[in-house]
Amino acid sequence: MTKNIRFRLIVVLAILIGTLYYLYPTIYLISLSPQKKEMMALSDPQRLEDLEKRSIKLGLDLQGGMHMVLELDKSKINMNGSEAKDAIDRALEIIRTRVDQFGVSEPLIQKAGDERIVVELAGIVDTSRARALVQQSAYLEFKLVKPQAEFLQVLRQADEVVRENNLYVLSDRTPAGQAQPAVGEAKDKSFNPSDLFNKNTSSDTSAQAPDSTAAKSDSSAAAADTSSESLLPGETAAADARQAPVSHLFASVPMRGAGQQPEGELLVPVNNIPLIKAYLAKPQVWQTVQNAEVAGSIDFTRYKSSGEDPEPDTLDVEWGDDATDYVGPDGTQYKRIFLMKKKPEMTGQFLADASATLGSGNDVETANKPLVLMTLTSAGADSFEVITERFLQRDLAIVLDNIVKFAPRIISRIPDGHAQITGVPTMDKARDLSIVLRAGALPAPLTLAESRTVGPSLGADSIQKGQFSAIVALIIVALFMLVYYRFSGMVANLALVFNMVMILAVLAGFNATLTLPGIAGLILTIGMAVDANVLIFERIREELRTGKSMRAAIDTGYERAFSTILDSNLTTFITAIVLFQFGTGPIKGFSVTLSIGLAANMFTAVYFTRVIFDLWTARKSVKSISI
Amino acid sequence: MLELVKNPNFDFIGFRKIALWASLTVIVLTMLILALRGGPRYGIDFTGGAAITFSFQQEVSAEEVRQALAAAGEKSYEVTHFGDKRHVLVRLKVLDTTRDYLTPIQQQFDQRFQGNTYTVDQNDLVGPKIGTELREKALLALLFSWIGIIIYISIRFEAESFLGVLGTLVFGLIVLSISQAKAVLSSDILTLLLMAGSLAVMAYICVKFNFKYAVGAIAALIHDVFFTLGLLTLMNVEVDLTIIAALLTIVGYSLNDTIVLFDRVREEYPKERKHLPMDTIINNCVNHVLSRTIITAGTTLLAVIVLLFFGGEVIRPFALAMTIGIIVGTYSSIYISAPVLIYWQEKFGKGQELAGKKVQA
Repeated sequence: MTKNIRFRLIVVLAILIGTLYYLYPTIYLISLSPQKKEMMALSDPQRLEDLEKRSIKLGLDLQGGMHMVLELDKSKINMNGSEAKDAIDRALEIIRTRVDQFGVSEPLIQKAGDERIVVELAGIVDTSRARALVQQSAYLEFKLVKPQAEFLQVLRQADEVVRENNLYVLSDRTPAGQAQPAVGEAKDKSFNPSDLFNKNTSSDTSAQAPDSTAAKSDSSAAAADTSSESLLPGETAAADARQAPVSHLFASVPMRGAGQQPEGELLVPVNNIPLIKAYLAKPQVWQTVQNAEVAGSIDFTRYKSSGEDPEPDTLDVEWGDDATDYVGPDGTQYKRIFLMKKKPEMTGQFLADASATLGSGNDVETANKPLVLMTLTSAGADSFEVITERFLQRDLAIVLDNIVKFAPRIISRIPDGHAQITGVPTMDKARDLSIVLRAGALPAPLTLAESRTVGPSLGADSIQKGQFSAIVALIIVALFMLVYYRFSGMVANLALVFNMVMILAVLAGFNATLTLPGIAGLILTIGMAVDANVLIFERIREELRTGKSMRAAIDTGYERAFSTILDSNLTTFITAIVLFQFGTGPIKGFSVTLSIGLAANMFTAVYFTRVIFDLWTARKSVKSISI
Repeated sequence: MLELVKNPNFDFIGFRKIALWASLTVIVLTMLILALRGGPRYGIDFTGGAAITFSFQQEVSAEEVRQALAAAGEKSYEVTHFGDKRHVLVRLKVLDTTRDYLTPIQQQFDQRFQGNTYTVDQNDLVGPKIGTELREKALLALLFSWIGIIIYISIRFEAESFLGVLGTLVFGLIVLSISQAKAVLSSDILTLLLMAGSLAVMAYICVKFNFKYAVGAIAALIHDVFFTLGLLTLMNVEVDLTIIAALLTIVGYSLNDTIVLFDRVREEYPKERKHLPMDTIINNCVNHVLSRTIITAGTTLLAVIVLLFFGGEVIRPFALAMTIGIIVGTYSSIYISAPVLIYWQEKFGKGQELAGKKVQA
């Protein structure tokens, strides 16, 4: 008997510990002040992201945001089944690219059926931008990439601007006149610059080939500086943040492959992205980058067969689309970043078709490797011939709506409008790329079928009111149980609190979303959760009335009430499943919370309270319980 | 030991005729109200259109807002305050979802309410197609919850009616496949016909296989849904997705209540049926579970009422529907499901054991 109790006690404790483990990230995040959170977003976004991933997600109705359903308008285009499928894939690609620019940390973009796309953006409530998301036709451009050496030089200029104007992003928060702001901040646990730089350093050493690109290049003094500096231990790296605030955030390139010129892409560890964006957002820095005069740069006047007037061009920084394209040996993820001409060399309208295939023939470089075949219109073929001739050995970025999808090198002049893109790592990537290229050739026939936005203040208000209601309901119900059942009521209340905590932990553990109806479900669970215990207690009272002993009454009470409790939970569960099946967003959240509540209820009200009762009555001194 | 009612022995079932008539009257009245008003007042979830809520810093009159909307070029609009006069809900007819309706309205507001800043709290747009789909889905959801419950109850209480369970399952699958064929379900009338047809088939299955428990439970559920819907219509509450969620939850809650009672009936009937008439046994059962009924309904009601008062405007319709539903659901488990069980047994259950085969619990 005691052994049995011990086992059950262990089960209860294990679940309690598991519950607390899954709730910890949520509690930690709530305890962070907004300033500390912001600081963390800049200094250690990886950790923040990790914490957020593991804590309870709030639905759009609670944090504010936008839910959209986009629909492929089949009436506007004539197409059969497979073409429609292709159209939705292209539309999806365009939407993904555009949503990327909203800067939402975890946007949800998914196909729903064959003709709908669901997009959810937390924190964004701008409906006009949402309209632009679907109404603009896709903008595909081919832009000339600046060589990496020149990019590094531009970054050095940016460093200078930051130093001269004291535009440091992180030190903005420290009191003026502090000699080493970074060190001062290092005391703060939530932000530790040397952590950041250490990470940076290790990835540099490992990911970077020893004969780095930069070291070879003529104008690479700055690059050599940065890379050697970032090899230094963390403490001096903090000082580098003062010396080379912008450029030290970049990691230089792994070589592209044998036989190719080591010139090309700059990488950024994903952790540094927010900092770089913060620097680039400073007007002075941005202007420097945009209008950089780079020594030894090629003539950037437009070169077209039509011979139009040369015009001055500004530069632009564009990001690659995939953070997981490059993963360092230590697991650090890198995102590509490019400096390129703002004006495109060519746009998507000159593109006729694109497809993915495997290379064949005897060419060792391409045989059995994924390829993308690109066909241009006749007008496009002419300009492309000029471009490929003029910019041989340069990188031409394929940019969809301001995101660099791929930046192949021009390795030969292409006269006939049939181009081959090689060096695509996988067949899937090749397929994606062909979708991107075709997306640019056709406007996306999408319409906005549904959009729901909730302002952040309303969301905050809902959370606050929901929390308040839950606490009030909990207190009232708990008080009643305590007065009515006394000791047993207290046990039921313990179970009730355990139940609430468990629901929240499961929500966090399964990455489910808490919505406003979800909070309502939680409150409803408070009301219903006591039902199981009431059933049991009333049954025990009945048995006691018939003159049974305390032990026997408890045993019979639990036994008799169990099937009823199971029944009522299962039937409510049926309605919850139906709700989940047909419901959207918040309603789904409600049914999820309700279902978890029912399951938790079975454990806390039946198992947990029984363990407590058995523990209590196992003591010899106890002859009766108050119920 | 604190007790709400000591050894209760009320004659609940004795009032069953009055209660049944009262319920029937209310249901008929509800149907009349619904018919007169052309159905419940559907929110944009089901009709399509736009709903925007504004929060102003100072009070604004609905008339001013209407003028602004007219000036912004809107033709079909509806303005209501909620909570207080600072919060305004604007509903618009929007057939073309590409239309930017918000910007002109905001321009008008900026002009007319200078110094009275406002925020757009919510801006929902539902295209006409989605609206129709959601309406169909909501009706089907109610139907499927009923089917699911019949299956569960008949397995649980009437295990000998295996064929009946099978029949219900097949029937559910047919409904599912029909509902999946969107072309067939393109209009509301067809959906309603499907609903009516389903109810008829369901009734047939129940008679054929003598699902007395299921009939009692389903009667209570239908009663609760119509009653709540009617009351909400009377109070001019908009029916939207959250109300449907509330209705389904009420279905779950009401069933919960009914099952507690039926479990007791199944337990006591075999012991008592030799020396007591059925209505007395059932009345005793109602009395036995009375304090549980009061406490559970009480605590749930308390929780929902707290939500009604402190939960904020967004959740209020949901909380209101739940409040009504819990009261009605508690009533119906005593006065609808139990009397129907008695009636059904008297009428169709000749010679059959009420409790059915006892299932291993």
